[in-house]
Amino acid sequence: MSEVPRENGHYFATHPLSQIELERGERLLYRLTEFGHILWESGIDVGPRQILDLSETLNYIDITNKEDFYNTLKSSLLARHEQETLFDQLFLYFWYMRDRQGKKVDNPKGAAKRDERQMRLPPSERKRLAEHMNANEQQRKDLRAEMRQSERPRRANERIDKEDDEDDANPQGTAYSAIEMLRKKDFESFTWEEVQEAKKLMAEMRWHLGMRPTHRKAPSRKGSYPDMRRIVRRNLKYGAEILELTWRETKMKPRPVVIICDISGSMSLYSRLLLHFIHTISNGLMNVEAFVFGTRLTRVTRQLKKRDVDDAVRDVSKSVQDWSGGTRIGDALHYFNHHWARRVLGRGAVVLVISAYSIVVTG
Amino acid sequence: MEQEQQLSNFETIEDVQRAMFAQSYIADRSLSTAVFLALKRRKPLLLEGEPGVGKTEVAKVLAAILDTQLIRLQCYEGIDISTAVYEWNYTRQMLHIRLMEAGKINRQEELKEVFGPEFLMKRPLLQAIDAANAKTPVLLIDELDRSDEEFEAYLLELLSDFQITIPEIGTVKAKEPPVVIITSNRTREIHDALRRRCLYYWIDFPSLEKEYSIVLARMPGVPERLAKQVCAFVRELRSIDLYKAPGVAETLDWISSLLALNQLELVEGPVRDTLGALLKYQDDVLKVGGNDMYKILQKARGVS
Repeated sequence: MSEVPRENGHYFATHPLSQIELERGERLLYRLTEFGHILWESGIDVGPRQILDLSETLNYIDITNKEDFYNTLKSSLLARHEQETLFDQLFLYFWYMRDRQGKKVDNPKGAAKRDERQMRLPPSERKRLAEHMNANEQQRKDLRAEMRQSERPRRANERIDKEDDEDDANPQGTAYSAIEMLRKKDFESFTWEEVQEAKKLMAEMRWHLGMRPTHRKAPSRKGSYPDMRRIVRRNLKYGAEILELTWRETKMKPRPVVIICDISGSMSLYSRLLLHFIHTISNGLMNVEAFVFGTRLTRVTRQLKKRDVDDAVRDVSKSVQDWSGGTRIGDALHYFNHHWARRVLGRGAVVLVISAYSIVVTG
Repeated sequence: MEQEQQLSNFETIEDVQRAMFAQSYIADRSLSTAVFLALKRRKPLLLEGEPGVGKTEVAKVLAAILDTQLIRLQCYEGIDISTAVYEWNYTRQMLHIRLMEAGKINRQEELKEVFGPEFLMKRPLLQAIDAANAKTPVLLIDELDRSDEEFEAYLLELLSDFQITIPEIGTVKAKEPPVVIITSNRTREIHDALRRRCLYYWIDFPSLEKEYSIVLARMPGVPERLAKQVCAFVRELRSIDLYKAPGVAETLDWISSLLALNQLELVEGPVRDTLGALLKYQDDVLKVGGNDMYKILQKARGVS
């Protein structure tokens, strides 16, 4: 990991920055901000604060040394091992390849366009807005029509795929297949009514997966541990005669939940709703880790943290490669045990495995 | 002042790398860069990596290099202010109050005295920012992932200002921020807010050559042939899908076990007997001890 990313196995002969750029520090700050923005857009959590901080940090190293420059950017901006590959690729792209491809950095036309795009609310948000403003039925219909319009071109491409599936699909949708089918499911096909119905259902749900005692103590009326600090303080007024006792009790916390959900072909009838369900509980108070699997296991906790359910589900379908394909439940659980169990199963977690065969809950 | 002197010795990344090497710690240039920046910017350095790759060791080596005190806070589930920051010495407080009573001193005075600095027991975090420290210490917050979220939130505050407020006494602020090393084994995700405040470095398993030089640096008397074979063997093991791949610490452990058995190279019998020093799960021992063992051994012996 110590190596600077290379292109075709060779280090670049050029420095990441030209001499003129070095002389003009502002230009560097500008480039850094831009780089930070690209990272942020790709899901690496970088904000202006870190960029400013980094620009200070760069004073301490020789920025013409590309290895040090790379290492410094990495340890300042990256905070997760999982994102290292992504970071390396973006670094290579931004500092070496982009300008070579002749792409201009500040294209006023493009910038204007981008601004315009950001100003417009995504369809899901507009839908919500309409709901908020108590739009009448006609307006909602119009909006839905508009949304469908915007999705039509993509749908057209996918229809061909879908028809293929339907031909050889088992009518019950329960056949077992181990063939890895890599494809993406268009999850935006949630209809308005569906969302409303699901919302209502979810809102009525009550989940009690139990509490677990933590090792921390909190002051309470009665308890098993004397709260010495308070005792001394309170009884000072009696001249150190211990008259009042105060206590501390073990603090209770809801158990964390780990959901491992089957999204293979046999589950396709339910997977949409299941994701909704996971989204609802992970946005409640509970500490939820979510994984989905078909032929491979994908962690979707972060995607489901988005507040808007449609955005969240869209992100999940983007990151999941094996939608509605075969099932390799054994492999998926094996992978989970080896790579994730130690990281998410502490603290008395409740594991919920949802698959076509049964729903298993262990505590 | 002396501390300033010490730190100014590290003008370049190479200086750090060399100093760490002098303490038998073989650091990549990338790790040296991260350490160098942590020293210069006085930002906490968050180290992650598999168990046994030398995360904790970085802090120990740093303390040795800077010739200063290492203050270690071992995190565990349920750690709280009274074990990490400070606690009042209640027994002494009680006794003191009794004594005062005999002396008939008024209550206001009592209150002031009882919650004075002499009744305070300093825990690691308070020690680290204590202005009375002669030299800025190295603070090691070990295995932060074991603590609860609440503690992490508290740490967030401490690490941004390096000050602690004790209601009865006032605010304690460090003269100079300590060098902070935080390690995590990722049994729980560390919160983004804390990550953002730190420099981050992932310590990977070392390459074959690097591990070999680590072995030579740490165990000067080891036969070269054995060292080479062991490193190759361990490297092969890491490519197998094990529940817990052996770290550098295990490699060193294993070599000392083999040396205790007077081995000069890897031979199947003793390897089998000492596999427990390398693999810590029965499943892994069974997996490696099976058919693969012979193959891996052959490969490892082919190296030298």
